[in-house]
Amino acid sequence: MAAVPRPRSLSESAAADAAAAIVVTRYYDPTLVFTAGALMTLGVAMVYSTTVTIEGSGLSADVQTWWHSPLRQGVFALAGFLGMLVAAHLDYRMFAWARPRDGWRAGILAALAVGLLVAVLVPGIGKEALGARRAIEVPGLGGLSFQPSEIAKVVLVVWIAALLTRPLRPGTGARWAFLRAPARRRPPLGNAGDFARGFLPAAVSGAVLIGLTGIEDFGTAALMGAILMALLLAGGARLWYLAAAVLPGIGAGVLLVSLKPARLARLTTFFGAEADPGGAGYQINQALMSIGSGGWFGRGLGNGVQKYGYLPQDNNDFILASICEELGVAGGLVVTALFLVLLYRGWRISRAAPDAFGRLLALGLTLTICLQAAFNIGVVTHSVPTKGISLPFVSAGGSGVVFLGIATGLLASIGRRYARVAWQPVERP
Amino acid sequence: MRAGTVLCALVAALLIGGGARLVYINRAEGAALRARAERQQTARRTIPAWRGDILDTRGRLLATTLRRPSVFVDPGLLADESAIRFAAYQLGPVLGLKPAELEAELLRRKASGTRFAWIKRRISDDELSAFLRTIEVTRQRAFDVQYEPVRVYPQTREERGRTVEAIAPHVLGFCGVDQRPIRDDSEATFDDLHGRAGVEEAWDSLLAGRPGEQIVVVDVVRRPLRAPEEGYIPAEDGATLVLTLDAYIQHLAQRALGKAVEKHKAEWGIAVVLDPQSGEVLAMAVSPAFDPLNPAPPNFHELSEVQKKKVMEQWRNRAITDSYEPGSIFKPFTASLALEEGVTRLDEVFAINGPVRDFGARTIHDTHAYGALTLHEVISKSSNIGMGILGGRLGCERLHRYVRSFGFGDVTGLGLPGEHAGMVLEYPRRWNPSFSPQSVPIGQEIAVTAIQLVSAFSVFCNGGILYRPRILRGVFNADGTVRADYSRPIAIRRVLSEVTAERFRREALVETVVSGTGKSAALKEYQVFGKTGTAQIAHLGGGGYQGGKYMASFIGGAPSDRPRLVVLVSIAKPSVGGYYGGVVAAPVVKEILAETLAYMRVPPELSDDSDAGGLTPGRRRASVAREAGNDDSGD
Repeated sequence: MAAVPRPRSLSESAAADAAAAIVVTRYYDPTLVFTAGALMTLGVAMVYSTTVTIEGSGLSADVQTWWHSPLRQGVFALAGFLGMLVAAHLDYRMFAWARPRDGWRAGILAALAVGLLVAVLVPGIGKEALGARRAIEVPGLGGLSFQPSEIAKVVLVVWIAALLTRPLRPGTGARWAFLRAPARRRPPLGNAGDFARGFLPAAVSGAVLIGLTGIEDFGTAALMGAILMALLLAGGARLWYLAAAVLPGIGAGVLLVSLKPARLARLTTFFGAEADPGGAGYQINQALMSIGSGGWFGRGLGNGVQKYGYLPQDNNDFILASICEELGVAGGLVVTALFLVLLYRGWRISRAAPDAFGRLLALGLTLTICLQAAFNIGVVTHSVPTKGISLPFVSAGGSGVVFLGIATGLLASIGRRYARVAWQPVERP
Repeated sequence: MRAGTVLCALVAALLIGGGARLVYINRAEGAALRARAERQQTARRTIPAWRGDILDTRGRLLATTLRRPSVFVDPGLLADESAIRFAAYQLGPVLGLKPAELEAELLRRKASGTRFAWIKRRISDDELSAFLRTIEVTRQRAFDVQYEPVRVYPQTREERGRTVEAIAPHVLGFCGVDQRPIRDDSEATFDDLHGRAGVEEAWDSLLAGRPGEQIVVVDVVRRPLRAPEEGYIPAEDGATLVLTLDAYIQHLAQRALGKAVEKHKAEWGIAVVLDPQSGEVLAMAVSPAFDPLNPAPPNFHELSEVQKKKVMEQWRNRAITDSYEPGSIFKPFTASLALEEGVTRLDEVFAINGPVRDFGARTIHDTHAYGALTLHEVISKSSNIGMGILGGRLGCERLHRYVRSFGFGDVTGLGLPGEHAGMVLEYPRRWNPSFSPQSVPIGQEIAVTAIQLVSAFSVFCNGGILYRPRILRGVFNADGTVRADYSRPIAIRRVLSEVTAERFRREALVETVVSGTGKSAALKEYQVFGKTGTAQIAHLGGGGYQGGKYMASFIGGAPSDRPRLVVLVSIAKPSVGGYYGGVVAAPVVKEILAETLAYMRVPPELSDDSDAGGLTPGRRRASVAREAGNDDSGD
């Protein structure tokens, strides 16, 4: 199958991409789209089921009451699905840094994200909820707001993928040649093997985004940190580069944890939740009780009891516990399986992508979605400390669904394109 | 392998690990977690049983149970001070509470961290509808309504919200409240009704029924969400009691007695109306009365012990709990048993030679100086000396035997709580042969209760048989089926022969009313018979009598041919307008008899005074007495 010879260096790779004829198909990956759609639909149903307990049924003609009803998750899901379709029709390469001066598009995205992350910290703009200032209200849309951290999550992947796949002029940075990675059997996807010109800019700019996110949203920042590491690794960084980067990262993490006592409490809770079910471990205990009381096949959709005030965040971070209560462990396993399908399709798209940017971007987006899901499942099942990470596509809230939908659309957009493979007759001995 | 594949595999492993953890949690800890969830999600709720009704003999409702709504708050659902102020100023006027006070109360409750507090109990229907409308409009979730049982007595006459006359409060008793938790885990309680006196107490277990139980699924603030069908034990509602009392006769007796007690400024009085043919108690009045809805003043717990005792004394059904020396109204029993034993005849003439006679150990006085009296005159004029002579003839043994045979010294078995057996001295140890034969026949050295007196007196009216007095006529189950029927008379024993009982009533007892001490009890249409009594009141614990304090009594019945009613009225310590039984008590009996006989549609016995035909012995004697112009009143 090695019809197109694999490029031996990054400059060669860019040239090869340009030279290679890229096929664009009309049909994007249906499995990917329908899996995301199924998760969104499940989200609408479950958010309705868990939210209808405290608010009206939403079956009203009045727009005002309707908008504050549990049904508005349906609008978000629809927006997310449409965003996914629109993004799937975009050419993901508009963000590529294939030529030296092309970086500005991804750069604008990154600058936008940084701007929003800073803006949310300003008391007049950022809206405070549950002790954190995470959302920005959109003026003129009647209380509609979005979370910049959700944008930052996607932008980080685009920006890092673009940065790591930008062409490096051969010869420059000779002073750091001793740090350069030796040629590998399989060439890396990016330029992170070059410590000074590849690894360092990506690590530093990524750290800025993560740090800004982490001020108000530690969970998302932790996820983004993991994704950054994954992208750097896939981009060719040596493990000891990462080790050198992780030490300051830990320092930053300690700083962020110490900013809010609640975060420390979450960590200590993890190591002794059951000892104090009424106190800090209340949430995780209630989540476990939800899972336990659902049994294998659940109480039936809408029949849960934990949502009546026992389980905090029952429509958001802990919606999986609600799913397990109403649809049983079987329902939870179906959700897990859907994310595995997403992971598999993302992996396939990443492998088949026609260029390095596409491969890295697809990998990053796939990992973002699935690692977030894995984190969330881990939190709900008391496997990792509580972090405040929602279940992608399913949890209540507009920003998550819309921006992850756009991310999935980008993934589909990559999936629509692959390198043309010249036909070669098979040589028979 | 490429880094991307390795990373994807890692995330896949994490996801699969998460799924495996779900399975593990359910397999290893599922049952325990389910049990914990069930514990926190369910509450055991008592379903109160509906307390049964009490009806009178004609089916009038004497006591019944209503449920009134009470408003409570969950302060935990009031977010902050502004929400509390908002709620207080919105709901205060609706519930008739001062907003500022309500706000202070809510703040106090919120600070204490409780999740339940009563705001106002037993609100009116108007308040309820206004309240419900307000909480719906303002979406107040912190307030709600819980229904609580209230015992009411529908025959009570009220004027401007105040109880004027309650029907038979001493017989019915009243209900106290037991604080029962609303849910098995809450500190909040509702009032559980339980009888504290009278019929309510005596048959409390019948009336109360058996509370049911329900397991409800509740939300985190313990509000019920739904009730699964399993785990539901329905409540068994209480039974309905039918009494022998007649509310109207009771009202007549209470009214007549109350007037007399007031008029004579007496300490207390009792009136008992009995059907002598069956032993059914038709009315049992005690004055002063109390309000069964508010038996105690609101500051009861702050009162001193003496004041508390005084309040509680008001609740006593003195007709069964208080025994007293009967005095002269006891004379018919002694005289009739002397006849029964054949130691005398009705027309035997006794040489009284009063007004004083020395019987050796004690001296007996008469109020008037009589020379010679026949036996029926001894009764009608109430001669103590005559009774002393009879007592001497009978002797202690026979006296004691007959007194006990009339039912004195035993509880009658009425069934009401606190009934006293009275006091008949232990024979032979405490009987003094030189003293007792003169004391007991005139109603001293013996203490009896009103209910014993009326049931013993009925012996003269029904041919000599002692019936057990009854107050409970029957019991219905909550579903309307008959549970018990107690309407048949219960004869205890024959005390007198029919001839003795009939003759004694028709001659001696009728004469008392016609020409003796009880003339103020006489009626125009019916021939009343009876006996007056004016007893001295003994000091509590023995040791002589209270000077100037009397028990004025009259026991009588009508009509004399076939008596339908026996009425006893005893008025303790009258202080104004005389103290003789014939003056104080006899008019009360007359009033009760007149109105009750009319109410019962008993055909009149006497049509007109000038009518000479169809004379009964009583009437013959009446005309004779009127000619003699005998005007006597006395002991």
